[in-house]
Amino acid sequence: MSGFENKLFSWLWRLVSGHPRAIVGIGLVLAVASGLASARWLTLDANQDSLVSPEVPFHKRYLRNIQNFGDQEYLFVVIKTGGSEEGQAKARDFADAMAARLSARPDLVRAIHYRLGPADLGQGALLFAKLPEVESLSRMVQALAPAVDDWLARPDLPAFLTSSAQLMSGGGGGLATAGPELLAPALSAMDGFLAAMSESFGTGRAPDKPLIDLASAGEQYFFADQGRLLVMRVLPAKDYGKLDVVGPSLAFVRQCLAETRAEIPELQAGLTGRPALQADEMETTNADMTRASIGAFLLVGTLYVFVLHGLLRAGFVNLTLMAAMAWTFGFALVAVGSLNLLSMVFALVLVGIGGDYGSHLVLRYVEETERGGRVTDCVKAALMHTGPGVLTGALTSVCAFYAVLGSDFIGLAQLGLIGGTGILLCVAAMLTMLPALLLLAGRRRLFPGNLPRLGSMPLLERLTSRPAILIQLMIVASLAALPWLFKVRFNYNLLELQASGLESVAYENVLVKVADESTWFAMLSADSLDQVGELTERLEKMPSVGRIESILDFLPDRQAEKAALLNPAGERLTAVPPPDATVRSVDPAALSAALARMTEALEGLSEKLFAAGAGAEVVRVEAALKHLSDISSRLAEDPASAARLTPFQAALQQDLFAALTRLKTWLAAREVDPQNLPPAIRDLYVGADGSYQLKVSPRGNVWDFELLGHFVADLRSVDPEVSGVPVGVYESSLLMHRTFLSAALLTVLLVAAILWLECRSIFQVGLTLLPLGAGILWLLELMGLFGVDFNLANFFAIPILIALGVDGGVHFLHRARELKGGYGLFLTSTPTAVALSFATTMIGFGGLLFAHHRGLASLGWVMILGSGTCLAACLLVLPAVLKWIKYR
Amino acid sequence: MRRLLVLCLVAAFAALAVRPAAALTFAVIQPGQPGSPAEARPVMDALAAYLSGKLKVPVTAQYANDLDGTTQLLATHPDCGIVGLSFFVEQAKALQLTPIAATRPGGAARDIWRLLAPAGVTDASALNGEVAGTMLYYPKAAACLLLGRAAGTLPFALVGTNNPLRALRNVPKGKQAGVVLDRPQFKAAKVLPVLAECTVVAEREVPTSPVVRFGPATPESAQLAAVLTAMQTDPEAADLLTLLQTDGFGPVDPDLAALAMEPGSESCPR
Repeated sequence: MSGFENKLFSWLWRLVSGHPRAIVGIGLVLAVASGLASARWLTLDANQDSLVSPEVPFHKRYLRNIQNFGDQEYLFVVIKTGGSEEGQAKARDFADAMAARLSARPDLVRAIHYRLGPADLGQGALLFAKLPEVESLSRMVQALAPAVDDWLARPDLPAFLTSSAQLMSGGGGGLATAGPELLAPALSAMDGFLAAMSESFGTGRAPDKPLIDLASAGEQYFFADQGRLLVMRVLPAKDYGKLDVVGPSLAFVRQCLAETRAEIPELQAGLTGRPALQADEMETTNADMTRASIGAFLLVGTLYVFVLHGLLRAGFVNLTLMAAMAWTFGFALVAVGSLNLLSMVFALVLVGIGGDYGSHLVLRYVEETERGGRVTDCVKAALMHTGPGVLTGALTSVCAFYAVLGSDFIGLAQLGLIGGTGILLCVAAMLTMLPALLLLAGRRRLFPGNLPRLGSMPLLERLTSRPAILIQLMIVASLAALPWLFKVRFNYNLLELQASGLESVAYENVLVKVADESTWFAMLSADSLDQVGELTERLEKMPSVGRIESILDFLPDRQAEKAALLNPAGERLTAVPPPDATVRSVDPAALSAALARMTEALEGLSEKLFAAGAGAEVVRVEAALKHLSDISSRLAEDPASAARLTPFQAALQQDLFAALTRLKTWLAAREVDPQNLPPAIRDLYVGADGSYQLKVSPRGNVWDFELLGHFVADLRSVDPEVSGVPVGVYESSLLMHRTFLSAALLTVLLVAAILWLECRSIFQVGLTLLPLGAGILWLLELMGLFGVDFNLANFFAIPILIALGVDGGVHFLHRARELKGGYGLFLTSTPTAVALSFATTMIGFGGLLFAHHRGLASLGWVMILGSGTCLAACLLVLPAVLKWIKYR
Repeated sequence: MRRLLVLCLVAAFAALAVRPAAALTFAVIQPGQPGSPAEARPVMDALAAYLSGKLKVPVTAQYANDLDGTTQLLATHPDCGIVGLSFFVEQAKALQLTPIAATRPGGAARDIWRLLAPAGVTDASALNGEVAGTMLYYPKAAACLLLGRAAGTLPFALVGTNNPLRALRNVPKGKQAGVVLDRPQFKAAKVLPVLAECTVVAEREVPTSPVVRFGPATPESAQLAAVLTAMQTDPEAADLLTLLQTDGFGPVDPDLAALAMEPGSESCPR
C-alpha cells in the first residue's frame, strides 16, 4: 500500500469507525433526497436526434433541414397486391379504408400520403396530363358540350342514359374522338354507374358513394414493385418527452391496420418505417432488458445470499448499492438535467459493476471473521486491505466510461459521465456506508452465529503448481486458435440487430429486398428551380440512386400549350345553373326507351371491341349489359317501380352539377408554380426559407453499409451538403465505431497510467494487464469460432471488459503482495470475490442471450464470452505467471 | 413572233408545273367490320388528315363495311385503300388490285382464321347449317382461304356478319353451325366463358388485310406505301394506328398474289 493510500484509508477508517450511524444516516438521507428530486425533475429525452452533437456538421445540416422542411419521418403501411388487377383494386380499397380510419385522429396522425388525385393538385390539375391527353380531353369536351347543354336543359336520368348511349355508339364524336385511352375508364365508369343504378332500383335509396366523382377520377395510388405493393406513408405525431416517442400514434396506426385487415382479410399488409423500427426496437430492447434485469437480480441476489452466507450481508451490499444509485440519479439531475436513450441504461451498468465492490469487502470481512478476529478488527482489515484494490479497480472502470467524455456522440458521452461518476459514487458508498453497516450489525451480533464456508479453490492451486507447463500449454492453445481471430468482422447492418420476427423488420425487408424501395431518403437543397432540375439530371445518372422526388414532379411541362387547349374547351362549357330543389319523378316510358338505347349501344360497342381483340373491355361491357338487363326486366314487370329511381336521379343531378362545375374550374387552368401549389404539396418540397428540397432514395439494400457508403459518396459528389437519414446513419455509425475504438484505446492508456501511479512500476502494470490481454485475445478467438461479429450494439462491451478484466488483475496482485511467491492465493477469499464479480457480470448479461433483439443478444454473447475468458485468464494466467516468476 | 411563241410555251409549261396536285381517294373496305360508316367517320377524317399532311395532296378517306356500301364506294373509283383479305382474293383480278403494303393487326404479320364449332364436334365436314364470320361476305374466297375447297362443295353455308360476338354466342346455343374468327377476335374470345363451349375444327394461317392500289401505278401510290410503312415509328401516327386497329403497315405478303381468284371462277387457285 502506498503512503497516500495508507493515509486515505486510515482517515476513512477513523471516519467510519467513529461515526457509523451518522455515515449510514447521511447516506440514506442523501439517497432519499436524490431519489425524490430526480423522480420529480429528471426528464427523459427520447429523441434520437439528441444523441449526436448538434455541432457535428452532418447532424447540424440534418437538424437545419428538419427545421426548414418539417419532420418527414414516415411510417410505411405496405400492402401486398399479388400483382393482379383484382389485387390492386382490393389494395386501393384497403388503403382507402385505412386512410379513413387514420383520419379520425388528426392529433395522432399528422399526414397520410398514398394516392394523388386531381383534387390534390389544385386548379391546375389538368395541366399534369400529357399533351396528347389534353388534346383528347379538349376535343372531347368540345364535342360533348352540345350533349351537356341538352342535358342541362332537361337534367333527368333518361336524358342522361340517352346521351351516354349516343356517346357509347360513337355518335357526337364522343369516345371515338376522344381517343382509345379514355375507353377503359369510360367503360369502367359506365359499369359502375349501372351497378349503382341497379342497386338503387332495388333499395329505392340514393347511392352511398358519389356517382360521378371527378375529384378522385384518375387518382394515382402509390404502387411499387410493378404494382405488387401499395405503399402508404403515414406521418405520426411525436412526443419526445416519452420513452415511446411515437407510442400512442403507432398503437393507433396498428389498431387501424388490424381493423382494416379484419375487414379485408384476403390481403397481407404490415407496418414499417424508421419510427416503427425504432419503436419496435425500443419495445423489444426494453422487454428484453426488463426480463434480463429481473432474472439477473434474482440470480445474483441468490448468489450473493449463498456466497455471502445469509440475507443480511447480501442485503447490506444491495442497500448500499441502491443508495449509490440514488445519489447517481441526483448527480444526473444536477449535471445534465435529463437522461437520453443511452444514458438511461446507467443503472443496469451500476447493478452489474457496483455490487462487486461490496462483495470484495464483505468476503474479506468474512475471511477475517473466520480467523476469529473482533468485529472492529475484521471490518478494519477488510477496509484497509481490500479497499485499495477496490478503489483501483473502480478507478480503472471509471476510465472506461470517462474515455468517451469528449465524444461528439453526446448520448454516449452522457452515459460515460453519469456511469463513470456513478461508479465513483458506488465505490464511495461501498467504502463508507457498507463498513459502517458491517460495524453496526457486527457489534449487535445481527449476523448468523455460524460462519460461512469460504469457497477456496485448491484444484486451481494444484493446477498452477506447475506454472511453466501451464503457461506453455496456454500459449500453444492461443496460437493454434489465432486463425479464428481473423474471422471476426465489424457488421454495420442495423437491421440485422433487430428482432427477426418483427413485422416492421419483415416489411422493411420486403421493401428493400423485393421492391428495391427504401424508407430512407437523403435530402438535398437547391436555391432555384433550375438548380433542382440540374441536380435531378445529375442524380438520375447515378447507379446508386433510386427514386428522386422534388417540386418538379408537381410542376407540369408545356403548361402554356396545355392551357391554350383547355381554356377554349372550358369557355365552350355552359355554366352550371344553381341547384334546383324541385324533385322530379322518373318517367317510366322515357326510362324504358333510354335503357333500350343504351343496351343497343353497348351491344354494338362490344361487337366492335370483340373485332378489335379487346377481350378485357368486352368483359366490362358484358357486366354493364347484365346490369341493364336486370333493370330493364324489373321495369318491364312493374313500370311504376321507376319511381324507386327518383333519389338516384336526384343524386345524379347533384353529382353531375358538381362535376361540371369542377371541370369548368380545371379547364380554366392557369400556370402552376411553387407559390400557387396546394400547401399540402408545397410544404413537402419548399422550405420555410424558400429553398427547394430534393428527396433521394437509394437503390438496392440501403442497410448494407457498403452500398450505403457508395450512395452517400455519390450524393456528396453532387452536393457536399447532403443530409437526411442515410447520411445520418452512415456518419453516426462511423462516429460510434470511432468513439468505441478510441474509448477502448484511451481506457487502456488511462488504466495503465492509474496502475503506474499506484505502483510506479512498468513491470507491475504489465502483470496487472496480463489477464486482460489474454482474456481479450481468447474472446476474439472464440468470437471467430462461434461466428459472432462485432456490431454497433456489442462493441461497447470491449471498454467494459477492459475495466472488468483489469479489476481482477488488480485484486489478484494486491493479494499476491501479501503472500509469498504467489503461493496460497487460491486459499484466500480473493479468487472467490473475483470469480463472484465475473459470475455476476455473466449472469447479468446472460439473460440477454434469450433477447429477441439480435443486437442485445450479441452483446450478451460478447459479455459472457469476454467475462468467461477474462475470468479464466485471471484464474489461470496471472497465478501461473506469479508462481513462475516467484512474485514477491 | 417566234419570241412570242417561246414565251407562250414557257408560260404553258409553268402553268402545268404549278397546277394543283391530284386529290387521292383512300378507301377502307372491310365488309363485316362492326359499326357503321357514320361511326367510323371521325377515324376516316383523322386518316385523311394524316395522309394529306404526309403526301402534301388533298386526301379523302371513305369507309364501307357491308356489300352495298362497298359497291357504292367502288363506284367512286378510289385510288388506294385497305381491303379485307377475302375481298382482295375474289376481286383482285377483276378490279386490277395491286398490293402495296400489308396491315399488322395486333402486331402480327400473318393472320390466323379459325373455324369454331360447338364443343364435341371434331370435324368441319360434320357441320350443317350456317357458319358466320366477318370475313365471309365473300364466301368463295373465304372457303378457299380457310378450307382450301370451293364453297359449293361444303356441307354448310358461309355467311358474312357484322356481329361476330353474337355469332360466337349462338354457336353453343345451336343457333349457328359455327363461326370463323380471325386472330384478334379469337384473342378476345379467350377471356370469355363461351369459348369453353366451343371447339376449333379448322385453322389456317392467311395473309393480313392488304393495302392495295386500284389500277395502274401512280407516284402518289408509291409515296403512300412509303408513308404507311413509316407510320409505325411515327409518334404522330400512334393514336391513328390504334383507331385503325393495326400496329402499323408492313411489306406486301409474298403469298398474296398467288391467292387471287379468276373473275367468276368457283374453284380455288392452285
